[in-house]
Amino acid sequence: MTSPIDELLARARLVDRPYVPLDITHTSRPFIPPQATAAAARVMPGEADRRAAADDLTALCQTVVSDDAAVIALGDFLTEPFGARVLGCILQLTDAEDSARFWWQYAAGAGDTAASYCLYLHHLALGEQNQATWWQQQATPAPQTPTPDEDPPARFVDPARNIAADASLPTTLRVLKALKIHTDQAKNETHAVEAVIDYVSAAVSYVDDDVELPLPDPDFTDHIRALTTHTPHRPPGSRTTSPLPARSPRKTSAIAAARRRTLRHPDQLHPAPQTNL
Amino acid sequence: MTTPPAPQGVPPRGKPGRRLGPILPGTGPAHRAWLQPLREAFHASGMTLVELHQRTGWPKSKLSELLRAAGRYPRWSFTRDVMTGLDWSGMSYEVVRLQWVQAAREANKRTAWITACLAQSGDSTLADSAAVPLDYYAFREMHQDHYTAYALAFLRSPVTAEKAVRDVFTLLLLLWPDALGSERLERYAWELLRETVLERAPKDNGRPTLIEAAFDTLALKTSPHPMHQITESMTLFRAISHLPPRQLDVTVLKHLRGLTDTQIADEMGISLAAVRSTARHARRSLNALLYPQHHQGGTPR
Repeated sequence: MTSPIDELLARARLVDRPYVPLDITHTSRPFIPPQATAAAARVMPGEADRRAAADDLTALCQTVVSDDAAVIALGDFLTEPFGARVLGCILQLTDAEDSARFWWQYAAGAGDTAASYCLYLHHLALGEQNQATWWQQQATPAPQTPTPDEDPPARFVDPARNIAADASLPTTLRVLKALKIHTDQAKNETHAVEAVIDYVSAAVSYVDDDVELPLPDPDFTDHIRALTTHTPHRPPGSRTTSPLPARSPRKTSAIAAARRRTLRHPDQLHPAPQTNL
Repeated sequence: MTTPPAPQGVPPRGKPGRRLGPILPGTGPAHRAWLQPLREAFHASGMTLVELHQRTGWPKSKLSELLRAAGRYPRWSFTRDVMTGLDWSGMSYEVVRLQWVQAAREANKRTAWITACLAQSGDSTLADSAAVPLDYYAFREMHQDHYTAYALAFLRSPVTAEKAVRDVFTLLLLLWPDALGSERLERYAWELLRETVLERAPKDNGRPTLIEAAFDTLALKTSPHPMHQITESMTLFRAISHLPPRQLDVTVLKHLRGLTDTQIADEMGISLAAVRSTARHARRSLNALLYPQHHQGGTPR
């Protein structure tokens, strides 16, 4: 009869040759002296590296998008950097790369680190090394100083979804990729995700030829919420169990909703329908 | 012009007015081992610092620092230039280089810095050359794979791990006479490997961490609950990181990399009995840490 510690140790065995995408390794290793690894690792982005970056970005976008909180935040994409990041991820998944880049830049400008990381991967996948490096630096926290017990802010992960022990971004990405190995888990989420993605790809367009702004349609928020309510959701903790279209229990107020409408479409007068919570 | 009183340890000077101070107190023996003959050569040459500057191109202040072991430990290229400026005065390149490496380690310079210095001077490819001692060659062939396995557990990227192991063997070649003269060759080399790998491993609170290896477990590939598995591995690996050095190494080799006890003994240069005993201690420590309520026969910490 093996004791728990022996079983634990039995599961400690590592595979013989782990595949580690180059960029992830080096984001999480600030202590390697530059001259030792620079030559070895920072080669010009070859085909394989770009594909790896593209795969990583897809994995990241898929997971960002499949979070309950994410699609709800979409409704506030103009005021919530998180929402803008989600929008960018959705657009990336539908191959609207330019639009994706715009919204990530918007989110990154508002301080969303994950969006910076998305941009890093985005440029890496395109072989644009300089831009990639710049965004990587934006995404990495204060370099080279080991931060002791400072609680890592949930830079990428929404506070509602606390992943394992280490919330650092590259580690989180590895977690996500590990999750993707088990596609049955992912399948349950794809219906809502697919619906949202399909809608978004249709709803976001370049409004004006002169203004290079990829803006969604006026009813965007409502549609998103409708889509995410009416599709079957994952187990406990889900907020959207009511048959009525969900209203985020957060700070949605008539004023905020009205302001959103104004920003998007100055001419639209009718306020968003509100139901009593 | 009167000559100031000769400081301790410096042979009498020929010319008046030269003001080279003594070797700084606190300089380690390995450093003195190459510096002392160098100073003697300098004095014997009758050169002034200015002349040495003219011969080597290095600023007088830096030369003075090197000759007194002041300031930072000098790079190999600098040291070599000074030796060249003094025509090496009968000293062998290989010997001085070996001493320089030993003193660098004594000065706690990182192995990455040391090998970078050597690379800078074109001295790092010597391990690739055909002219290596046969016993060194055999040693490298025998241990390379397991060394790389150990490095991979901490460094994870094959590129980084292989570079680290290559650096280890470069240093080992330079230190080979030292290694052969040590009590146990395998243990000497293992210490070099350990130092090199841990120096380059990611740190958590200043301590080398194994956490990211949590993504590389075999168990994860077949687990129905990947999140749970990753969390479990991270917890275990964090605990392992906190073990004392020998227990850490044995645990990594045995449980993370699957080496047999005999293989571990061969790699680490310790006895089989020591491996087993260390493994037992490690297991007890981990058990106490991770399952405090299940204490099985070990003394509580």
